[in-house]
Amino acid sequence: MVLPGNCSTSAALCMQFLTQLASVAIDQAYQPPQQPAYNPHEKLFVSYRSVPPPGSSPSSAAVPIRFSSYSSVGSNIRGLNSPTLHPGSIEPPLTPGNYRLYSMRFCPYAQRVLIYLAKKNIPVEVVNVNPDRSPNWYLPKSPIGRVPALEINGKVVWESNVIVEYLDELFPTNTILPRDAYEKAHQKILVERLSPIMNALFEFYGSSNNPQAQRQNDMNVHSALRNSENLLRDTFYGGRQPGYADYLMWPFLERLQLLTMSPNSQFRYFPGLHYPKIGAYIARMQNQPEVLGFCKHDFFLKKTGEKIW
Amino acid sequence: MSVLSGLNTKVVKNGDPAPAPPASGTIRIYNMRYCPWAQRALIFASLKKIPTEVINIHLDQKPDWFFTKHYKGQVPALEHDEGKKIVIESAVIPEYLDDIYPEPRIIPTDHYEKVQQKLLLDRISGQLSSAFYGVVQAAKISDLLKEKLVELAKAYDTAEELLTGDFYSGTSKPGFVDYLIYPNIQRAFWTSHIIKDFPLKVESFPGPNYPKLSKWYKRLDSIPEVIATSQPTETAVEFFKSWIIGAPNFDYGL
Repeated sequence: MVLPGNCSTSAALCMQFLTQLASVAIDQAYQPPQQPAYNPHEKLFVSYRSVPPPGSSPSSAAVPIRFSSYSSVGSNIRGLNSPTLHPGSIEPPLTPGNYRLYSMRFCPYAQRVLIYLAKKNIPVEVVNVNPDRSPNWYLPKSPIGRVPALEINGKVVWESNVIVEYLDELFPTNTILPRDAYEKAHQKILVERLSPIMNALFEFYGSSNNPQAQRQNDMNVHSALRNSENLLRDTFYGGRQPGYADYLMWPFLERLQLLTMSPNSQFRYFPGLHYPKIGAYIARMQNQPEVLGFCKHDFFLKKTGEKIW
Repeated sequence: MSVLSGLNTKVVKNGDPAPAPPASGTIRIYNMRYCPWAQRALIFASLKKIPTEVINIHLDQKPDWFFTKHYKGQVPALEHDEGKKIVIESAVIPEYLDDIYPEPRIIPTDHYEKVQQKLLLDRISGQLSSAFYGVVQAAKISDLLKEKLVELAKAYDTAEELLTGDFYSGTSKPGFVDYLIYPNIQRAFWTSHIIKDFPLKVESFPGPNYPKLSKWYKRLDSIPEVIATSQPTETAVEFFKSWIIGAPNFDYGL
């Protein structure tokens, strides 16, 4: 079975919880200016070096853009924290030859694509939209208004797993999926085998206010962590370097740390002493530059706990 | 002459010995004759004329050794390179076969067209299969069945709407999406013989409400390489009856 690759209106609990997180961000935006920014890397997101569109661009779906590979990770992404567009908003004009990612700041599926874009250093403009109530101009681009969706020259691709593979095909010089057919197949199989992490996270969103339901969710999280611990046979799931499976699973594993903030969960530390490989893995992933730029860890722990519980 | 050997052999079950690794130049597919997900792999192997050995697995009494092929003991599982390489997942195996046996190519080579096929598959396949299995599971609970049949009709409405040409490939020949969704639609055809008030009709399946899909199904149903992976309607219907009541007869007809 193919895993879902997007945030959609059907994931109501996910959206409800993420909307609460969005309200946290809005509160923070109104903090007095002397309040220190929680994320020291946030300044990276507003820096942008202009990349001129290619001259005499052929009318193909996408044209690889020549860009510097020496800029700091994440500097290729602009508009990450742009205001969310709702019904009634006007569609921002799209420059020919430029990539645009339609996103929602707390969507784990969109985060997969952002990590990929940062790793591959592809210049992109982020436009945040409300996936639950999409602007009318957005609905023709993505079924039911889901995010993420990647657009260039009027052509749109959605589904996070499809988008990232598409990026690897368009920019093969720094491909993340292995070129070998067998190794590539196994990275995709690994994502499927790690999917209990995703399921446990979505279950947590629904169970965290109910002591009995949370007890069951805790057991499922333990089961998912045991599974993840067993499957980790190298420094990363991709081998010595993070790969496809790492980037596609990380946004969900990162969010599971929220368990420690729930009074109904038995997790006081995440992942806890029983999962030493996963504990070390989380520390390594948090220090990857392409992940660090989009890290929600401290933000979640410092702000979400205060707000939600 | 089909390249699939062993397709119509009895299932192996708990207690049966593990098979020797597949011979060089041969791939092996662990299968169940009526499984639509495994049939995806068989169709690709058949189209590419890959010498294939099929081993059918008893899905309720799985051999212990089978869990070394698939960690959940599910089918399909592909084994080749004399047993050194195993690939699972019905969505991954077809792409893998297209990579290692590229003739004939079934998935488009153009990146954007390939993406469009994957997105189309995602929109159709998940809806069709979940609606179908919803019906099957509700078949014994009549008050829930009506609701599930409505969902099934909606799923086929979507499939009809998204079929804009002869095939979902958008070309004059069937492609990736066509071959991957055909097995589940065939299962609905078999089930239309069994369940009362089924919204899809046996005659000119799926019936007058789905004119494009009816022509599409007839075309797919007449492709020799697809037929080579299929089971006859009469035996399939009897198997599905046994499956729906919860006592599947995996060797029915053998």
